[in-house]
Amino acid sequence: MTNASRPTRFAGESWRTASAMHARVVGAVIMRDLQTRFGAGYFGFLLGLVMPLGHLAIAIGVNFLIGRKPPLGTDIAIFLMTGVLPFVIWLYAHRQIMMALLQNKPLLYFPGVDAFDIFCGRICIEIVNATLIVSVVIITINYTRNGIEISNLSQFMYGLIFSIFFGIGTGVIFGALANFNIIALMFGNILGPLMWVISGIFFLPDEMPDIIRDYIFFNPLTHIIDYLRVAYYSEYSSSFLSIPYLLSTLAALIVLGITIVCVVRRHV
Amino acid sequence: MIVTDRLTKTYWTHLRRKVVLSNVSVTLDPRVSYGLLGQNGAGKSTFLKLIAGTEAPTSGRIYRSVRLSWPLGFAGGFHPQMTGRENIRFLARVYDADIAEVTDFVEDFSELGRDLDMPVKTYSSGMTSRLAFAVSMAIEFDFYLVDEITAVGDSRFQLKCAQAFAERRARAGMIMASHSTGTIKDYCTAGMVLQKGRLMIFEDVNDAIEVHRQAMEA
Repeated sequence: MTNASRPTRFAGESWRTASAMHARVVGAVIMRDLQTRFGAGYFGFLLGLVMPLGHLAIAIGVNFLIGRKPPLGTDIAIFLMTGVLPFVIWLYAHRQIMMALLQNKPLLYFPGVDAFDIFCGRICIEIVNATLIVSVVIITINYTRNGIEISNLSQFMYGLIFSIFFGIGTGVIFGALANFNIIALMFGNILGPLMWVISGIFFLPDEMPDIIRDYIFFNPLTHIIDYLRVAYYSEYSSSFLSIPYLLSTLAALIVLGITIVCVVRRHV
Repeated sequence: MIVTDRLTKTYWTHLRRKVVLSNVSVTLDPRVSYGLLGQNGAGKSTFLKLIAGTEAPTSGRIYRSVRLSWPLGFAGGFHPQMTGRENIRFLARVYDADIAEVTDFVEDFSELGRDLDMPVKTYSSGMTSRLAFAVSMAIEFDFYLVDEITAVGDSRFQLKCAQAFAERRARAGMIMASHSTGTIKDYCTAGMVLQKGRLMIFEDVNDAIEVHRQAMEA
């Protein structure tokens, strides 16, 4: 027994063949996802891009028409963009990743296909999708608003990366929990509108009364949006934002997600 | 080689602990065909799923050095919204087989014709099992796990399956779980009997059938 004594859980002979197997499964899951998420062919992927962009445009458009004065800067559309963009990035990643395992559960029947592979495949697609959304938004602003003026571009990008990480964290947690009890899915879905209200898309957390501030402090997305605004507006500084809290919460969510998937793998 | 080391599987049903396998340590030769016998609910399907790795043991380990098929017999794994062809491509990708070759083989073998481009949810159960059987024959496995395969298609298709299977068995081993001692005798040389969480292995399938018969009569 040369290779046989290796305790691989799957049909792979060794670490190398096992990881090659996982890579193939992730690739196959990605292809499968692209084919079935919105109907046949690659048109589905385009639709997956148009939906969040439409969401973004409507949210900004409606509030733009109401014609409020922005709490920061002079352009209400830009102010809303700095809130709605990270929200949409989080929401779509969260929703799609949450559904990944439930939609693909039959695939676990095949030896070598693992719950982790299914999540990884979906996460890859969502990262590409989010990158495209951000590119489209930045290009659009650049052409409609006489050039884009982000005071700290790299910080702005980090903020968006935090958004997608937050989406991966919550998506994996609720998606994995839904395998124990489908009610988790309901809570996961409620999270969307809840975050819309409490994440500071329409307001600055510093302007809120202390009692509200203390509650929304626990919401990582409020920090992410604040972080993006600090990056965008050179004149804005925030006493609310806590980067150590944000980073440790994101890390904790990801670790929690992985732990729950490990449990799901053994029991479902 | 497939080795199980103190393999235990228990389920909780209605607050009672049901032991399906208890400390099973066996070594299986991947070139041998094993017939797996046991009463209804003895845990034959569970054993196959554990060997395949689609279900995790409660405790103990399984070591595998060969490429195993999924438990053949019913098609739990096809994605209902994907067409037959897309399902084939998915499996070919997962098991690193040539997509065109596998598709050609399945087209020819399954006789599904244009239905192959329809979503699997529109298939009858017979069509699904024909597809499942064809794909598992198209992708070469070292060791087949078979769960009550005998009911695939009409008699003509069954003959075709038997021939394809005989060809595969020349190079690969298998475990076949079945109630039918006749089928087991036709296909297998060695035997296993699963009783009350214990697994007994017999080099001669006839011994296994005898033990199983005695247990059924008792």
